[in-house]
Amino acid sequence: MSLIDDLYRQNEWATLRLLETCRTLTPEQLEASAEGTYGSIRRTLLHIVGGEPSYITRIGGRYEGPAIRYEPFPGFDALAEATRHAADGFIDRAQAALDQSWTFTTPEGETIDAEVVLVQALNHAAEHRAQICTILTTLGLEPPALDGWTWAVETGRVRMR
Amino acid sequence: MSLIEDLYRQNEWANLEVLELCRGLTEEQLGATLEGTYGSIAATLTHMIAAEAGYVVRLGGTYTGPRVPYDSFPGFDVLEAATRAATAGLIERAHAALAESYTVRETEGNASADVDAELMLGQALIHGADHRSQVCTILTTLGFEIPEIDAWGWGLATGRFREL
Repeated sequence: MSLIDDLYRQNEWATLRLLETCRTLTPEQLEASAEGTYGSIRRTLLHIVGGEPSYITRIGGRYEGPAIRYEPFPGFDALAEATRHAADGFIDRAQAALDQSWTFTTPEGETIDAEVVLVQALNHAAEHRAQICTILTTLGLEPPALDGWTWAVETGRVRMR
Repeated sequence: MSLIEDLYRQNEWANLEVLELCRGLTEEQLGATLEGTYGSIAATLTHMIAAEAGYVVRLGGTYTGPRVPYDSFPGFDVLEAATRAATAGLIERAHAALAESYTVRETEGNASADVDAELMLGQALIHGADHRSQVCTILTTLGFEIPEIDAWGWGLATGRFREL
């Protein structure tokens, strides 16, 4: 058990669980949105998953999953596969950052500490998953439980006595 | 710089940014909510920060901030002080868990369970991000411009992301 692994594995699990819920939606439901959110469910899922490979490569990691493009919709299998690969990449980079902090420069000349990207990866996905759950509720659907407790129970990290 | 510390410091900073924005709301706006969110802005902020203080104690850490009731809005000064104190406690517990994994005993009524500390430390971050997102969604529907409270915004505010 490692706190760093756990943080990114829970993030992976939550996105995969949300993808499984959204896989069952109709095309009309996938296009649904709600005021104050990023956009439609479909677009938000693409934004969550599609953004993660670039975070990894920006901090010198390897992403070996499928490329995620917005059009045509790559499908839920590709999004799930990309999520798994991204989690591996984040864990590798997070462990590296724990050992030795580093800074990188973007092509635009910005200088960013690697930790900022690693924090952003978790923050970004959690924020947008919450938006999709809000949209699902407005559609009259029960959003999946994506919290750490549910993850812990499913992975045997809570042991009833 | 430490990734572990950064994760909780960004969470703290984002909480404080949202609190600062909400401090200017009217009572009516603080009572606003939306379908699919936890509840009113005031209730969500209180729940979010009370939970963080609670996680510290449940993890066996020391929480030195003010008491935050779960069922009534204690005011922004209390929520700010609680956020800072909870963050210090969470960072201390995260370092402890990183050095050596441990388990806490959770009891509710007659039921009890052993919980790995790492999951509660992860839950603290997810919980904050989840509920801040809900508050921001409500604020957007009220016509407010939401500040950049993600890690990019935090990086810029703290000099960890330096633009040209």
